Amino acid sequence: MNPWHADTALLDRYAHGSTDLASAASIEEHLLSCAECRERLANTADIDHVLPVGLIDAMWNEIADVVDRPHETLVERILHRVGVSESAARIVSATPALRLAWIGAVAIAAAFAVWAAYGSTHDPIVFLWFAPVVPLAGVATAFGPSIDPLHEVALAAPLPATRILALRTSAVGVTAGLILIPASLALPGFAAAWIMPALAVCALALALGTTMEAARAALVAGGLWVLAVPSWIWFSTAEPRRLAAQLALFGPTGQIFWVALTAIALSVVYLRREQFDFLAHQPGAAS
Amino acid sequence: MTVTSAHQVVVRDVHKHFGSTRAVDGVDLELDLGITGLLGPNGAGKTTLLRMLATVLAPDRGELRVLGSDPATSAGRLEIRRRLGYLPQEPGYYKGFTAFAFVDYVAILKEMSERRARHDEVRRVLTAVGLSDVMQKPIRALSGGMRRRVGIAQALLGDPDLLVLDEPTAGLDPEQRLRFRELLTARGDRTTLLSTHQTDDVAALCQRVIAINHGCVQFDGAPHDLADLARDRVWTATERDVHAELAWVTGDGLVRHIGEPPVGSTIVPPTVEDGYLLLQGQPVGVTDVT
Amino acid sequence: MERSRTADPRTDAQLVSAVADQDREALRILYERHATWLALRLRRRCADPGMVAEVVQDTFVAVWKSAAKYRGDGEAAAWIWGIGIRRLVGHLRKRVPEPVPDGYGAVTTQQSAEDQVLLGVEHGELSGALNSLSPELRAVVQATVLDGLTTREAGRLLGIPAGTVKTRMMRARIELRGALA
Repeated sequence: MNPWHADTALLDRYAHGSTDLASAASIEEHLLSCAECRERLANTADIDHVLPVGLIDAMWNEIADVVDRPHETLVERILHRVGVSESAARIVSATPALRLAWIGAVAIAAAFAVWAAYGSTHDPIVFLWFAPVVPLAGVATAFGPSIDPLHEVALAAPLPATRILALRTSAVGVTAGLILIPASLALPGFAAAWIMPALAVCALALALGTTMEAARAALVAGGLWVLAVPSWIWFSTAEPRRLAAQLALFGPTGQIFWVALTAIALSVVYLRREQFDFLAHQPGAAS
Repeated sequence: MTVTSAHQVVVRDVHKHFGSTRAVDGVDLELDLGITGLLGPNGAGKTTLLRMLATVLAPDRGELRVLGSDPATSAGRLEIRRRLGYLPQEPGYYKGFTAFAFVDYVAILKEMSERRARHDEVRRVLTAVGLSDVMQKPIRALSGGMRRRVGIAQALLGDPDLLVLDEPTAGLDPEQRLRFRELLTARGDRTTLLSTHQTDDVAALCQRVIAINHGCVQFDGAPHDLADLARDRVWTATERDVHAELAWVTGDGLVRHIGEPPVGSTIVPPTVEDGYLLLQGQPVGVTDVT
Repeated sequence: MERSRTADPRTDAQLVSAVADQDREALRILYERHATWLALRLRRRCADPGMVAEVVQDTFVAVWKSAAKYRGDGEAAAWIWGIGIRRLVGHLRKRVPEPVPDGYGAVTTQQSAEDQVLLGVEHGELSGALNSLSPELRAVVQATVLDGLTTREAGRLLGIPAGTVKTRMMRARIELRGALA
């Protein structure tokens, strides 16, 4: 190992840029392997203010700023592209469950879209039956300890619970809608007939969400809907049964019913909106 | 009834039931500046009470006043939440988040929208709890005690006027607890309420202790006053004395007793634990607690 | 800011390894140890202090992101310099739409026997010859031999075509050989 060390005077001149090339070359090569001289150089430069005062600290702050920035997920990147703010994007994509729900809803909606495009000769009732369930994924992810480990911390924070609810519901709901609406145009006749039932089912889920966890509310509302369609067909007395049921559920009278249900459910949500601000009751869970 | 007072927190005849369980059964207390410990066993009602003060649960009956606002109104809750720091008993974490990302997310929930200032604040609180080395590591890679400290860090965001911590010392070793104490005292003229089921936490950290069990307050005063309940009622001997209410073998091999000391026993100064055990009114008999 | 660079007992290689493990403190200590010499050395290749500061920052962010690629072969300082000088080249040629060679590994040099001697020079008759080279030749020697850049990179750093770098390098060698003879 090279026993030569640069003396302080030489380092000083190097720091000021007043050494010839050969000496500078030697110093630089030496510095690559000598921690002691590196440190001496640092002390020299500080004292003589060759580098502006506070530059070293200022540069570190910039480095820390970049290094510390949380990793941006794919969902966040897409949302940023669409113009969503950093905070909103983070709230939507915070947990794997949320991102999964988002991507899952997109995937299912896309599958439906493909099915609708290629299977347009098929009976539209299947599409109409299942399409309203897809946006429910948005409601299911709105809030609640099962979906959000930070549920309790979030409740105690000033950001309104309803804002988080609205962000998460609409993120999934809107995305699903954007895919399903054009898809339904590929179907004959009943193009948009699923939209009002979908809104009604989601509104119902939100209304139920004022008394139970969002995930459970979505399950109940979705379950009710999934059972309602075949039940209606089964209990329908008019003939032909399928067609009559289709007409009743998705035809003009049906649509009016869905609008009414949506209005009622949303009123309930509005009147009971304070409930979202608290932990859901856990019977028997005292400590 | 309007509750106006100079106290930071006022609780008046508050009740909370879950089905047939009376979690909080008529509690009255006032909190002032300083560090108060809520002491009680699991199921005593500590978490329920803390949750009501943290505005995430509404009482069934009674009045609450937190930092001058009424948490029964949504405006009141918002006002309180802007000045509150809360650590729940079982804080959840987002898998895959680093400690920094986690605290940053909570900072977003606390309405810190300006990124640079927010990140500076996140760095500040994580450094305050001694996690500056590991702030970029994923939380799942951190030990239980470190995770607890991350939880404490998020509660410290924004230097809240009221800090409510549910079992913050779980998983902290004595050195970390000392550091935690320094952290709390450094808050200066602020109010901190923490719950624990360990008496030595109370002795080490708190200026005031409220003992609670079965939803009711059993004791409210300074830790040394709690210890004083057992003054002249604690003695040691080399063998177990059956006349004691409580007796157990301590680390130095002697048997420590609480109760009516027989004449000539070696009376020892009482600890907070002694006072607390006496308060619990253990059934007469010999209980082994090591 | 704490000056704790002497307090931490870890070697540079250990620190880089810790950085690969997301140890932020290790990065800060590496920074404290290496930021000054890096800034000064870059200053001697780039007159713009703002750009030098940006390059130093980019370098340590790159260290954070690519710490796993450092195999411990050679000095950490040399590895850091390799990142830094290439960042500088990247900044300088930003106007030209060509991809920057992405090499954070060992500094690639085409070192001949002469080059080895040059690098080992402390005092000696070669230093006189080196210093008597014209400024353009000196710059080329510094960029290729001392900084280990390829002729293309050196060209970008100095703002001259790669061909000119080659010619000047040849002239420099001829002059130096002449001086040694």
